Amino acid sequence: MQIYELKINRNTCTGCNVCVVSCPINFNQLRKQSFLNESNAVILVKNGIAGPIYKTEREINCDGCGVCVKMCPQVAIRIEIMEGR
Amino acid sequence: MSFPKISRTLNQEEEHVRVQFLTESLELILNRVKCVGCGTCARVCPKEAISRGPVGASRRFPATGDIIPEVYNPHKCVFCGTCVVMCPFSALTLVKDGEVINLEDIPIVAQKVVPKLEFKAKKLKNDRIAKQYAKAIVSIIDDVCAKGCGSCAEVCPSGTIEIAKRPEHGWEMSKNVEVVDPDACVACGACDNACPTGALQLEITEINTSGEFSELFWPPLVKRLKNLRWSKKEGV
Repeated sequence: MQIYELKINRNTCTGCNVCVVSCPINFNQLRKQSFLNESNAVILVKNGIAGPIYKTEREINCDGCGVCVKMCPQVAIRIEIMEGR
Repeated sequence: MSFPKISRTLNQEEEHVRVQFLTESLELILNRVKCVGCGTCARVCPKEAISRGPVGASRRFPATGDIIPEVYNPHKCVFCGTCVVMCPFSALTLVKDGEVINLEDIPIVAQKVVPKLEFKAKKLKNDRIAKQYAKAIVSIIDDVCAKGCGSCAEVCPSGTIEIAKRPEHGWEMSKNVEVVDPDACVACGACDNACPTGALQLEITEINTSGEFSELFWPPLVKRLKNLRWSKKEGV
């Protein structure tokens, strides 16, 4: 089971939330559960900077689709494969 | 000096997995340009040596060095050539002692462990040639599909799925996808592999083969081939 890491460039990220809004997993979680927070989101803006949320015990984590990478106006996101899966 | 020396290397065009024994070497090479990220190799591998990479991201950004659609584990690979045989885009090559092993010389083909795949060669966009040996039915569950993603449409090599044109939506984000050409589908499974939510349902309905095969190897392989990421069916 491959797990992906979202790496956010803290210098160029403006906290605009486009990644949070465009993430298809976030979208579905919001649609199914009517809320989006640290427990069900994959990427969120905290203290003005976007940050990935990865929890081992959760079934749903970053899928590596790359929508956030594509939509980010500052090109601040990178997807990497987590070592030692 | 100890053998075997196991290595995995990566460059813009290829992923290499190599094992150097004392007297011979075996290498599996993935051509990243031909690779669609369909995940067929990952599904059929008898050793589960291939994992799904971030398909959507690697197809959207092919220039990025380390994002690849399939990741090969050199410690688990036994170089059987199953992935080479089953890849619909001929993206994999098996090399022994520096020489490419032709498809018909790969032991599982030559010794009729797998039957002969009867395929149609289809020319796709981006100059890709697909070997279509199976048929599939693609469908999208609208309630589960996240609007604005478009991953399946982006990875589909044959133009079967496209981002729907919605003139009433002014905002680019509200894109949804639709199956525009079911006959174009080459049954590779890239869409199922790329979908982050499970809205994409793909059912492989037939696999065209001829000739003998090993009862121990081929039927479980077919089962694995049909065992897609999201479209799990009971009793498959």
